[in-house]
Amino acid sequence: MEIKDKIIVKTDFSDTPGARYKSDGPNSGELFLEKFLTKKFNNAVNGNYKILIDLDGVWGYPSSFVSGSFGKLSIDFGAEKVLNHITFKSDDNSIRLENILKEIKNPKKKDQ
Amino acid sequence: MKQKQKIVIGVVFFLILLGGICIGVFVKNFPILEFERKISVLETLTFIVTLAIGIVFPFLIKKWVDDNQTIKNYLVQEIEQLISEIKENKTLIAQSFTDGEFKSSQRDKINFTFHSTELQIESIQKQFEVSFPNSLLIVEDMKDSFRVYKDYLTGGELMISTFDKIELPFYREHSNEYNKFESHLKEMIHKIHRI
Repeated sequence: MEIKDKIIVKTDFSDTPGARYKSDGPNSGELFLEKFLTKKFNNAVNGNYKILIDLDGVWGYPSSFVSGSFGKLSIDFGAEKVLNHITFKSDDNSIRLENILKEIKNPKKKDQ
Repeated sequence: MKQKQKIVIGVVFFLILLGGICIGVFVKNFPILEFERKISVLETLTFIVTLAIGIVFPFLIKKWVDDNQTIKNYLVQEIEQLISEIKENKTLIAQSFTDGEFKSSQRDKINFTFHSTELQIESIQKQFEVSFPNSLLIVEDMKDSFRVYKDYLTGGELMISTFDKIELPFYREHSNEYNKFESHLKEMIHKIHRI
């Protein structure tokens, strides 16, 4: 599947991702999900292509941000579909990519 | 003088002494020495194998053992650095608890410390893949333990912007979670020595 769209977290969103929900403070996972992820993901599913998410250049990804964005997307659409339409770039740090993939494959359900 | 140099000099002296004794015995008994012109294949092979063991064991096997130990010592140093790096979180939480204030910049610092720690874990994993590919389970266990600690600290209330003070229950709970991860890293040092 071809990559036709891209999200660079550092420049498109923030280099200091925050907590889980918008009510938790700035740059939350929920904000990232609503502003970028869901929209671009739906377009990718409808257009049958992949989006590339560039994770580099960021000062760490808090677990709550990962859970509130990628985990929630996985809960909503299913891990298989998410991984079919999203590919990641993490040249800086392979462990955080592993953590994000683990969250997508086994999302933690949190109630607000 | 290094231990290795001392060993090499000792071996050289021993060989010279042995050579001298052999020459002495040979010269003394020269008139009665007779060479057996017919030797069996088995005896020749035994001689070659004995000679090979004599050369291979002290040089190659010892070198292999020494190299392995050097790699293990290096990995242990990396784990110790990892402990020292992650300890910054403990120090920061303790300081914040004492000050009665938790700042946004400290939150960023914690996230960056985790990022640095992940880079160190990645480096350790790569070294295991090269030197001890059959012991990668040790690294997987470490990563699981790391995730539990990271999820505790960055997956809960500490990341919320209104969290501006470390209370005693949080301080205690964090200490427990931190100690679990630190203990795991210390156990890992023992496991590396046992590989």
